[in-house]
Amino acid sequence: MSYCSHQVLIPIALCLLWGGFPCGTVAQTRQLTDDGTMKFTPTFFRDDNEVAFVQFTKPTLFQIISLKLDDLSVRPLHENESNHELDMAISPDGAYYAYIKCHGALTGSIEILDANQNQIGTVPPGEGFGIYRSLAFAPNNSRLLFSYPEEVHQQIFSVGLKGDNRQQLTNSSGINNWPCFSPDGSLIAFGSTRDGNYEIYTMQSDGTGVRRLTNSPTMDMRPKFSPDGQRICFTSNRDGNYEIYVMNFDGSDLQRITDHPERDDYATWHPNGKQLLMVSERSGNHDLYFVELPR
Amino acid sequence: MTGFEERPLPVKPNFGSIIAAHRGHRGQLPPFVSLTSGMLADSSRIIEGYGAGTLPLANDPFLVSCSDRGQVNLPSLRLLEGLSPARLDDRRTLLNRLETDLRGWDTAGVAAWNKTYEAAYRLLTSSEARQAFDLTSESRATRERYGRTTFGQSALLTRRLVEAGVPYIQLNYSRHPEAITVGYEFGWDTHIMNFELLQDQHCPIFDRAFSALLDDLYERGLTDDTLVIAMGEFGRTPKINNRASRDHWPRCYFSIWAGAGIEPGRVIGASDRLGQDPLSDPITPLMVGTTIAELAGMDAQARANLNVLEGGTVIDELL
Repeated sequence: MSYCSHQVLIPIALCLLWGGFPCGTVAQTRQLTDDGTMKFTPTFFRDDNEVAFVQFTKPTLFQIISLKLDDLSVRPLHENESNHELDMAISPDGAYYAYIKCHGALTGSIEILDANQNQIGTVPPGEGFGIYRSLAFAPNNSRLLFSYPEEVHQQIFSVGLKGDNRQQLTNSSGINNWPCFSPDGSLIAFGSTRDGNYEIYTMQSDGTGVRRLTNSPTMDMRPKFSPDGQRICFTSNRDGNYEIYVMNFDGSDLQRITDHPERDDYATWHPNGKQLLMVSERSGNHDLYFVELPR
Repeated sequence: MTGFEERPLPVKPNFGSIIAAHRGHRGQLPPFVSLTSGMLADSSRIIEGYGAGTLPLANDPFLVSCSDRGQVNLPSLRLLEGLSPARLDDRRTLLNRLETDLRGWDTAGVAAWNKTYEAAYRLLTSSEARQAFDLTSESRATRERYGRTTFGQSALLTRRLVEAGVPYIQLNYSRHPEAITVGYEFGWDTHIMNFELLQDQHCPIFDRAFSALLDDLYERGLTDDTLVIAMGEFGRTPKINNRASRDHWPRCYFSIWAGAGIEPGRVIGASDRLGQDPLSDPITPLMVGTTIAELAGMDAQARANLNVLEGGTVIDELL
């Protein structure tokens, strides 16, 4: 894979008020990959120089890939793994990571390991068909969040790092997904269709005090807290296609970050808090990009 | 894809095999091409109704795979990998000699195998046929328009095969239907991850490739002579299942039709409020196959002559 160093400079858009939300200042981007293969859920891994993401490597395999940012080299995180791997999460201190591993047909487990790939715990597959989604570590490594469908609806749960002591945090109709802890561990942001369509909410770490942050008739999804806990980035198609937005942790000061007719999605924060890492579709190719945030 | 249930036996022929039998083998390319990496199958068995059924085996689909990079492979001819045209000629000579000895054997079976072999030989040795499979001659803009996915580049290959005159092309989204199973391609059988797979993967891929294909056919003046149908084997349950997803629902679903003089921008048929059952007279898979055949120039007599699509009627509102 070749290093792609061009930057896209996008003129600053005129600021117009429409629907109460200011038009985003469209930011600079830097392309990190150029193979074009479908990618999902990138996250920083172990340090600022390494990113892990799920790649649709071939028609029969989802695979976790490690990307080194200094030389843009890539390799599978788990060599010779032939089972599908989804939704990797890393603890904020880099000591642990977890991912979803598929088993056979329509089922999977959660695997929890330390940074040296030693097994710490596992959440075995549920009964029958079903698969876990969207993992997230608590800042103090005490709990691991995940989403799982049971009895028609999909709820958010937490377990200990050995996969024990399972607790249910949401209990609503619809789908609850993409949980994410705030850096101080007091809040969890998540997406939910409990009010009819995907919106962004927060709740206390014990599942109480649910608060709705967004209010649009389309889909607001995949929230992520910034490293300082003050902002949340998320994906929304409120303006016609999937774009990245940032708002304060209380839902105020919404800003649109990307503006492209193709899809921008799966944003996560750079540890420096000044950039987002995302998957963008450009001319039918899906690659990783950094995007600078407006000041 | 046959218009009939799998049981009782025998399994009926695929719509594509029916068209292939009617049109016959003309030119360099097979009359029925199925774009897939291998035999269509689920985790337990080959999908029945994929091919000739009660018709001669020569009307089976010719399998062609296309990667997300546009690399085309011919699963039907894996046995012949590495053979040069010259070596193929040697084999052809040997085969001719063998055929002389085989005349006393099952002539129908030999004839059927012969037709398949001849088609394979033409494909491997004909520059015109190889050109149809060469996506590198397409502009980068065109290839990107379809999307850098297996389905996207396969849709582009579909357009090229239309231009090359292949009568029937079955463009399969995936070789396997399962939503997510180890070692299998990812399909639309979303008993789990229904909403996520559809919104994050399947629908974006399909939307891009399908719209590119329709636009491309239109821009090249091929729409009037090409019937394009997007359909599945059944729908999904209106009621959400225990895993926040949807199961099989053959009672009511949809298909998308374009081209071949069909008036666009219409909805034919209606379901009840829940999408559970048809409100109007049901349109069945058999009617779909019969209408395909009719539009392909097979009238009722031609269908009767081949003993196919028995009892089928045309979708009058469509024509």
